[in-house]
Amino acid sequence: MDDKRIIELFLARDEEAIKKTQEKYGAICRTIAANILSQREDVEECVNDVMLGLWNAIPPDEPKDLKAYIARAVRNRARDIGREANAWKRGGRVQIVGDEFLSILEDGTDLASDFEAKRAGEIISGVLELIPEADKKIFVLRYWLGMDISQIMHQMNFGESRVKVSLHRTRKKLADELGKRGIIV
Amino acid sequence: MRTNIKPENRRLLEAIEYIDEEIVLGVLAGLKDPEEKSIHGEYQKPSPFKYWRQFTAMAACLILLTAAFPVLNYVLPRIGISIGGRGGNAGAGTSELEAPTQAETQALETEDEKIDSPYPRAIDAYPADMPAEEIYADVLKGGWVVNYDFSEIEAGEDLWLDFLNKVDRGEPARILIATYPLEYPDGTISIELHEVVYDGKLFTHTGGSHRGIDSILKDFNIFRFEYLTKIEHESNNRKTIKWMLTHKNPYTYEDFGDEFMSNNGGIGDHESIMSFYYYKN
Repeated sequence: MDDKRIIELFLARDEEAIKKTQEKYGAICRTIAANILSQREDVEECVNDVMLGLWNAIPPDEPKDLKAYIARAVRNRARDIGREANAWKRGGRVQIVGDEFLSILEDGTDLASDFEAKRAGEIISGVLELIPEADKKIFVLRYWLGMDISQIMHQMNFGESRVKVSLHRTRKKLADELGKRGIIV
Repeated sequence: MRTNIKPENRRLLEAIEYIDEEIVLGVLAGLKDPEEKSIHGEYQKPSPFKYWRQFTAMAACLILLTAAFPVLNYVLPRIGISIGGRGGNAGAGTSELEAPTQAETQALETEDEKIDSPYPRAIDAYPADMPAEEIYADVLKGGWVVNYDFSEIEAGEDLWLDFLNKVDRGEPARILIATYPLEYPDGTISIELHEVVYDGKLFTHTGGSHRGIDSILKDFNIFRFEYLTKIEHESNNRKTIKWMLTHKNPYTYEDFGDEFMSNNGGIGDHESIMSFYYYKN
């Protein structure tokens, strides 16, 4: 069933909408959640929460792109569950990906004392707008969505080296830009 | 991987939450369905009966072939077709393999050598007595420009990425890299990459950054490499080093050998051409 029809079912308050959404996007939802949460029960809770959330949000929402809408909701809900229940493992993927991103901080550098995450986010967005589309996608898949390299290889049809080089290159550009803008000192 | 991140610096992670929503949604809209096997291998397990038709057909073929073999083994040689032999042998009543001739054995051994070393030897493309300067000059022909630290490829990026993809696909790929070896006080060797030649095209390293050889090997899954130093007044210096990536120590002076380091009048004042053989684990 196409997304337009599923959204129509939501708008018509037809419970079939949940079933069809589960059928179509259940696998990707679980994959996204499992990238962030360590326990299967938490993953299932996250996906169920999102399905309920969709039911409550549509209407009034009418997402332009259902897949993106759901993927973002799953990622954000998984992050919240992780924070609430401290459900991600120490040394798990979230931490590994985070540490990798933080490698843009060279030894001996620190965040500026007046560091504002929002401003840094805007600078990162500015850099992402300027780099090639593929590099931008790889960055978001890795650091926003928490995908591992093999998942990104599948998503992008790229090899491992290509993905790693892209991440390395983008991190370096971000480090340069954040340094120029005084975020990293 | 960094492990000594100050707790206060971890706040930088919060910035990711403020990445422009349009960017994020644009990427998410293009998500492909995950592969059947999830990261935990616990979702969407394929049914064990999914391929039952194929298994049944294969089993049936195997049984038929097994049953038919004695008959075929008797009949076919008598009509001039041998099983497993190298043709002919009509009427001999046997299908035993003939012993290979000496020439065939040599050919097989040569073939084995090729299999053992599937990649072309870049340096061997040049005559052994060709002066290193001429080889070096030949290597530098072309015009691609790249900064090897990945961040500022100035030209020829497509070719470079094509190279990386080729490596990822496990296809033979080789590259010549002109370098300046440098030795650190602790004895480890670094190389400053200057010119990189791939597929006959030149990439020039325009920056001055140094990279440890071990890090380059890890980045590109290099299985082994050869080097040829450019020597001012002495003969060419060729050597092959095999190095498994599982080895955790960095290269040291000893790994390269005295001739590599000392024949050139010291570290840092000569050029090398390194021929890398890329290998996908």
